[in-house]
Amino acid sequence: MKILTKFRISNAIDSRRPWSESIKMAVATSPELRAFAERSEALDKVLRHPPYPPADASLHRSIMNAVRAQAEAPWPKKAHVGLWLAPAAALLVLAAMGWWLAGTRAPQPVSQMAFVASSSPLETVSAAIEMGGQMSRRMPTAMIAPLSNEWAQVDSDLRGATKIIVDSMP
Amino acid sequence: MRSELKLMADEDLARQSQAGSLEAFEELVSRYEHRLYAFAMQWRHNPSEAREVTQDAFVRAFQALAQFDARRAFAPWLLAILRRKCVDYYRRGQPAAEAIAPETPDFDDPAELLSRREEGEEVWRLARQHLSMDQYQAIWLRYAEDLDIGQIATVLGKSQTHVKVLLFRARRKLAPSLGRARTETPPLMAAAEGGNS
Repeated sequence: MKILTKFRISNAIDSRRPWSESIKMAVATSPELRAFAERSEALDKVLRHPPYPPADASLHRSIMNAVRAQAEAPWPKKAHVGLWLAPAAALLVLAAMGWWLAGTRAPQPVSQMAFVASSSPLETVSAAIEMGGQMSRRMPTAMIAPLSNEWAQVDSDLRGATKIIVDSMP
Repeated sequence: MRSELKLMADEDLARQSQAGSLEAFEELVSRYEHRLYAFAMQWRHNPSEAREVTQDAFVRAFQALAQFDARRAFAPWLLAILRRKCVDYYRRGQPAAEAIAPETPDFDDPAELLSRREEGEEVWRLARQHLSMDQYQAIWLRYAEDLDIGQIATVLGKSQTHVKVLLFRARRKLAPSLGRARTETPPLMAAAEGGNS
């Protein structure tokens, strides 16, 4: 607990306010705390005389030359504009993409999936084929075009699977 | 105009600087250049580097004047910029030179003040040797810059509790050094005492 009291003594020295009664009491009853308090106060007085290194007399002139050069240079304003222009443009593009995607999304994919899950195998297959057809019709051409081969492959697989199921039915 | 500026508070000068007055900013430079240089010297110990860091800090402060809130104190804001510059230099890996024995101007000559100043120099030298960089900077800002805990926290970018702990640990480390500094008699004085006896 003495470490906490020492910490409070250190804080009291920093605050430069009169010490609280509890600190005074603790210092009066403990030689260790009294020694710490005395040394800390002595240290406080000694540290008030820090060694200031002398600065070169030409320091002021060189600082002001650099500041004046900065004041005349136009680049900070341009950089400032560039700083907010780039993120703003990126945000605008993101917002436009979001708006476009929201407008082209399938209306109720969840209900279709629910129908697929609760139907018989034949209905499931036909629903899947129907969904694939809808997706290929609803999705923008720019997105579908690079995948046209894959879509054709999926479509033929589904048709093959349907034929097998229909043939195997009694 | 110059004399009017000299009477103005730092924050008012900063406000005028924000409005475009280079004279107001020059007055701020006059007030703080030696303080910033002294702080930079504590970090780098090299006059030419300390000079460069001080200059860079003022240029950065000039660029960032629009961000300064004139309702707050100017000194911690400026010192925080300087400290960040010092960190940048440190990270660039430029080796700091060996410590140079600082000179102190004499303003007064009472014997007690003189002995305290000598003792102070010795304790500050020991502080530079034994304290961590954070502890040393906290002590420097407390005593050389006379900043309060909140302002030191702003400059160092730490919480107030952290600053209190730094100052407490610094005191605990320096307290034994104080005893040593008091018992160690300077060689010249010892010779004089030997001659007298």
